[in-house]
This record gives sequence, C-alpha cells and structure tokens, in this order.
Amino acid sequence: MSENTTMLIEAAGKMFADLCTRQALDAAESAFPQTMWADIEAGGFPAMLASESDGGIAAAPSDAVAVLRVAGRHSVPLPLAETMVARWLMSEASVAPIAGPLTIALGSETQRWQLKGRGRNRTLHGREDAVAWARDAKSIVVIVPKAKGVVLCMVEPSRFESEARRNIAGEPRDRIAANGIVPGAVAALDNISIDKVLCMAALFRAALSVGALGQVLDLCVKYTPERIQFGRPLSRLQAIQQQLAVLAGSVAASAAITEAAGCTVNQLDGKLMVAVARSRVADAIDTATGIAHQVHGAIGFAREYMLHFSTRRLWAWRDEYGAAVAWREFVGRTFVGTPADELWPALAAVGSNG
Amino acid sequence: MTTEFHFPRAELPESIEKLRQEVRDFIAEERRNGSTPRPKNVGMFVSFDFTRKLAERGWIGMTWPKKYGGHERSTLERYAVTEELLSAGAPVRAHWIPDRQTGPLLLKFGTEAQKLKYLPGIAAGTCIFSIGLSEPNSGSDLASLRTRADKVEGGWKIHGTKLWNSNSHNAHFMITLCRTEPPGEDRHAGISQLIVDLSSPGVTVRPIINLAGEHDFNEVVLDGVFVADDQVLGKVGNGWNQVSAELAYERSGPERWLSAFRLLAELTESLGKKASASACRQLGQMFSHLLSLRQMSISIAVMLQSGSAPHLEAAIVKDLGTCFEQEMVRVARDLVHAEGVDIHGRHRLVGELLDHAQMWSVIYTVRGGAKEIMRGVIARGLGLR
Repeated sequence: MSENTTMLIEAAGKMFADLCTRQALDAAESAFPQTMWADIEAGGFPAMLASESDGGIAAAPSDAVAVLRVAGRHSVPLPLAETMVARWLMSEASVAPIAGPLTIALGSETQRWQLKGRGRNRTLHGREDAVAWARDAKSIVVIVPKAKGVVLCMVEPSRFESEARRNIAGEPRDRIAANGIVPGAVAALDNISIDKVLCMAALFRAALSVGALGQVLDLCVKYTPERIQFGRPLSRLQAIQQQLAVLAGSVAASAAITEAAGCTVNQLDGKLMVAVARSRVADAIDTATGIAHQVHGAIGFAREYMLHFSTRRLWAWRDEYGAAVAWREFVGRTFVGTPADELWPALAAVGSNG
Repeated sequence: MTTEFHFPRAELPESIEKLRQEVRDFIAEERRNGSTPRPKNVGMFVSFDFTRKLAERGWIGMTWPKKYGGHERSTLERYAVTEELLSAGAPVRAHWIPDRQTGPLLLKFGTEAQKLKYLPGIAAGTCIFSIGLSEPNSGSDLASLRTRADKVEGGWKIHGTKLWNSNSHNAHFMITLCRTEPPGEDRHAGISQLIVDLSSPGVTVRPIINLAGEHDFNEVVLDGVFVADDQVLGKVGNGWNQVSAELAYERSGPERWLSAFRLLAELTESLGKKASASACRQLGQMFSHLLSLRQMSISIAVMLQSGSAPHLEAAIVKDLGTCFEQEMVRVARDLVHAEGVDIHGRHRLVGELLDHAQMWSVIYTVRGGAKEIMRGVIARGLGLR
C-alpha cells in the first residue's frame, strides 16, 4: 500500500467516524444525506478510481477496497461503492465526469438491459430490481452487454418508471424499468466485460462487509466487559470468550481473503478470487451476526444501540451483486470433476495467474 | 479502537514455483512407479523409504544451516514443499515431527554438540524424534504434568509416564517435558526439556490403538531413566517457554487445513463435471474456506520468515482449519449420498477416505492444542482475559 493510500485511509477513517453518528444513520434511512455526500465527495473518495484528468487519482482496486472497508466499518449510508464503479467506467470510456452520487444498473443474469435501434435513435429497454440509490443518483449508468465489452448508457433516474424500495438496512434499492428511453449519453467500452463490472461491484460489497464485520467485533469487545451479570463482566465468562474468539477468527479470514481478492481482481482469474471472498464473507456474516447478537442480549435488538446498523447491512450485502449461493456455485463449478491429483495444483494457482 | 487481527497480504515468490514443480514431478513419478499410490486414508503414515527419498532430495531440514546437514533454503520454500506433500497425501509421518518441531527447537535452544549430534541424522531421515508432552493426567493443562527428573551425579533420573505420543514406536529419541523442581507459586517455572534416548534402560513404549484400529500413538513409561547433563535441551527450568515456541511451529502449518485434503480431492473428481448446482455450491463453500485459510497460512509463513512468532495468528488458523476439516467431512458424507457417488464400486476410494476421515476428524480439534485452548488464546489476544 502506497503512502498516498495510507493517508487516504486515515483521512477516510476520521471523516467517516465524524459524519456517521447514530442520528445521521437513522436519518439516512428516510432521506438522502446531501451534506454528508458533499463532504465525502470533497474528500475525493467517490472518484478515486477515475483517471486524474477525470477528477480521480487512478487508484488501484485494492486501494478502493481499503477505503470501502473503512466506509463499511462506519456504515456510511451512501452509494460510495456504486459511484466508484460508475466513475471508473466513465473514465475508462472517456465519458465526461458527472459530479454527485451515481449508481450502476447491471441487470441480472437472466435479464440484461438492451439497446435497440441504431445511432442516435437507440433506445434502452429492460427492468431491474433493487438498484442501489437509483432515486438519489444524478445519473444511472446502465450497463448493456455487447459481443465484446459493454455499452454505458447514462440516464437520469426520473426518466425510468420506478418504485422506491429499501433493503433491510434501510438503504434505497429501487425497482426501475425502461421501455424505449433515449439515453443521455452512450459510450462503448470494448475491454471491460459485464462480468468484470459485476466482479468489481461484488468485491466492493465484500470490502464494505469486512469493515462492518470489524465494527461488529469491536462492539462485542467493548460491550461484554461493561455488562455485569452474575457479579462479573460478561467478558470473563468462558462461554462468551469462546464465542468471541470464533467471531474474531471469521472476521480475520474474511479480511485476509478480501484483501487478496482486491489485489488480484485485474488478473485473468480475478473473478474466482472475488467469488471465493464473497463465499467466505457470507459465512463470516452468518457466524458473526449470530454471535454478536447473542452476546449483546436484548440491547442488540434495540434500535437505539449501534449494532443493528452493521448487522442489517451485513445481512443485505451478503447477497447483493451476486448472492452467496451464486458465488459458491461458480467456485464449485470451476473445479468439480477435476482429477484428484490435479485439484491441488489448480487451487494453488488461484490468484497467481497474472 | 480496533481489535481485529491482521494477516498482512502475502504472496509466495515466483521462484518457488520451480521447487513446487520439482515436488509435483517427484510425486507423479512415485504414483507412476507404484511406490506411493493415491492414498486410501487421510492419516499421515510412516514410510522410511519415502522419508529417505525426500532426504536425498534435500526436502528435510530445508531451512537449517548446511553444517548441520540442512540446505539453507527459505521458510517459504519449506512451506511450499509442505503444501505439496500434504495435498498429495504423502507418507511423511516418520520425519514430520523432527523436521517441523525438533529441528527448530534444537537450533534455537540446543548446544553446539547437540546440534551436531542430532540435526544431520534428522535431515537424513534416519534419526527420528517424538514429542513427550501429554500425560495421563495432563492434557490441555500441560503445566500440571507430573513426570519428574531428579538430579543425580552427572545427570538426571526421570520417573513418569507420557501419553498419546505419536510415532514413539518408530522414534529413537523423545524430547521429554518434565519437572526439575517441585511446583511452586509460578506453575510454569521449574519445568525442563530433556532428550531421552528411547533405547535407554527403564524406557517402555506401549502401543495405544486408535479408534480406526491403527497404531500411531503410544504410552511411554520412564522408570528411573538416566539422562546425562549434556542432554538437557536449553536451560534447566526454561522448558515452558521453550515448549511454547515449539507449539507455534506445530500450530501454524498447512497441516491444519490439508489433513483431509485427499477426501476433498477424490470427492471432487468423483462428482464429475455434471454435478448438480447444489453440489457445486457446497463444494464451492469448502474451497472458499480452504483458499482463505491458505491465504492466512502464507501470511504466517511470511511472518515466520521475517523472524516474528505469530502465536495468536497460528491459534486462529488452527481453530478455523480444524473446524473446517470436520465440517468438510460432514459435507462430503451428504454429497456422496445426495449425488449418488458409487462408493461401493467405481468410487470405492472416496468411500474409504470418507470412513477414514470420519474417524480421524474427531482428533483434529484436539491434537496440537484443543480448540477451546486455541479460543482461549484468541480471547486473550482480544483483551478479554
């Protein structure tokens, strides 16, 4: 990690901690936090993957992973990951940068977005459930697959038919549909596949999750020594210590594999490492949220305590940009049927196929 | 404040790939000529022939100085060889403990004469050590051990019983943890490590058959066994610290998540390319655990290489790795039935591995430090105790 990145992460940690108070997080579940966005955008985070001429710092994906881990820790209630992906794609496609929150619409494996017609008369068709912060975005980057690469379509959210919905963390996840919209701008990207875009978005969900998992661990380690039962702190009970050790182990494993996936996402088998990370993170989410709520008892179930901001996000993020089961299936399908003596060499090569 | 444990991202250097390939070629040749067929069991087994071949290739005592018979290769090179041997299910039991634990212990605490006496033989695969830690009444609570060494002229006389000693029946020596002073206020003080020649008068090695019907571990009774002063390892009274260092080597390696790898490998082959989506999901989940553990293990290997002693990180990998392997056996059992793997016919090997792994897996979370002890170590690292 470069010195610049270290500074960026320190700055992010301080800024996100100051901005994401309990009141701010609560409020963000009913209205978009404009001033918080303005502060974070001024910090340079949403555009970090874009080139310098497009307002970014051409950061590596691993740097974005590090920043998003901090964002996840503080439950930053903004489309930071989505805007990072959007600004990266726009920069790659030489589309003029757009300031403000952005989001991406990838469609699903069974229903991708389509462009019909030719030239200026091309129109956008499709529908998608649970587009992150669609209503709040300055522009939605709709990603249409083509034979080789993708076409980016920049469309203002008001032009879609839409239904405002939220995930269990109260983050906007809107249903949008288009039946013949003429996009504001269209740009082809030949060297980036829709799979690659999905990978980046999925990796960023893993990074946010690892941050939130760290916060869950911290809350447990802070709470259990303060809570006195049976005449002593909960943290002195072996039953509690053992549970928190398990929690800490799964957090450490998720962090290690997600960091590795961030470093290898641009390699040929980058998707495999992302899939492995998403699978491992999902297991950690199941383990950690269960243990954290158990050791917190009733207070963890209370809205006024901070734990739920992290755990509700984790439950939602676990299956966004590809559900855990889909990532697992991809990993399993990659290797199933491999001759027994060839399996280890195949596994050992994952993440080292430059 | 953050309490997270950090496993820094680490990669094995490109140069290791050549060595890795040499090991793979060697195993492939062993498979071809029938010396080391695809294993039917997940345990580590003794083959002095195999051990000798590894020694000839310089794959025992890899990191030790040449003057002690070592090969002065890096910790990471040794790590890669370890991965290759374990994933192939190679019969490495004979030299495994002396290579992994005894050697580093002698290098760190041994006298020059001890190093010259033992290390070349270990590296040649001809001198076998076993470890003497557990006792009938001291398992997880090792400091409660009762084996005692009384000072006599020119040395020590040991009385006591060591239990669950893997491979002692094939070993020439045992590094025996014993009390050289009666227990005082500090129960970790007054403990020492003595090198016992297992051919000495007063030593009785009795087999203990495990639930799989195999003879791997033993009871070693020491009835007034004489050990000369120059066979004390390290300082008298410093045994507890020495053994803690030893356990870091024992806990941090890939054996904690590659013990039952042969089951995963044969199962993966037997399911075929057309396995169901559900089977792929479960298999994918297992591979994801394995690759995450590997990332952590490589990180630890790099820490060891740089001279640090990551005992906390080792405890995490041991706990996660052994629990993963137990879970993997359960998943494998369901998968062979759900997918109709012909474990009584064409895929008999999978069935045999499954039965064997089922029996052995219960000990994974016990040996080398019970998972509750590991979790206690981790909880201490979190500041909870």
